[in-house]
Amino acid sequence: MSQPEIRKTIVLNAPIAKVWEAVSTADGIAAWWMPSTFKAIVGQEFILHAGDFGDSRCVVTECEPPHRVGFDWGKDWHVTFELKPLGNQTEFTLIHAGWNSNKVTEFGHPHDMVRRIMDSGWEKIVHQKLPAALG
Amino acid sequence: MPFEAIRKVVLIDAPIAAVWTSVSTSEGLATWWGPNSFIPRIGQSFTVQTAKFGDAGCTLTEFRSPERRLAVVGLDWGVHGHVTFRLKRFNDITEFKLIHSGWDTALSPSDVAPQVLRDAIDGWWGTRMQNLLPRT
Repeated sequence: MSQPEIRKTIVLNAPIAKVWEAVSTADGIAAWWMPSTFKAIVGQEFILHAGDFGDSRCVVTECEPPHRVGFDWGKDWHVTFELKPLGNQTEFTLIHAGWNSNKVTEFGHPHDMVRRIMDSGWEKIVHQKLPAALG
Repeated sequence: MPFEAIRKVVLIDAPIAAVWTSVSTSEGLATWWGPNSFIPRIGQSFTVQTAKFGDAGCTLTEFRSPERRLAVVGLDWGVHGHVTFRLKRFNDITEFKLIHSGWDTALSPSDVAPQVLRDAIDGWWGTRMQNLLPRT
């Protein structure tokens, strides 16, 4: 059975160009999320180094600077970063979709449990680590 | 050249305190590993009886109960190598990681190919670990 996407939104005290840099480059993403070989080119394959959860193959599926970038993560998931300018601030939304309670990850972990772990993980990443990385 | 350690990770839908009981008490270990004389004291010797490895002597080398997010039990398992159980708390879910290194030291030149033995031990732990998962 499919499960709802994980969605986290925050208003960041940084202009959209600065937030775009932080969410669309490998160095930027590593500062608040995970190391990767990310490149913001549609069709580009990259590797996400998810620590204990292993290395995952990803493919960039959309890239509309500076508003939206998305990628497939492993066999099941899709992640989107959305940006909206609010004057000198930026509204950032993370969407992590592709959950299904009947599925297991590449590493044999049930989606149901990984979703619960990642829901609280994303909460901390979006609300603490991302603003901290933007200074 | 030593072979790579066997690493197995499962997520268990139970709080870390419950999983800790399964890896840090004689009764708990008996439910999934084998009958044993485990005593939670560093340096203490005990035996674990399994169908695959018989009655094997162990020595407890590491014992860290869950404080904050992590807990560890480490033991030397005679000629069978070194085994570590690591627990990590994710709210009410627990990650259980098993690391079995030095499993190749008991090999003699006439024995089975290392990869065959490795796969067999890996699969055997997988079966054992099934009993750690909550029944539904």
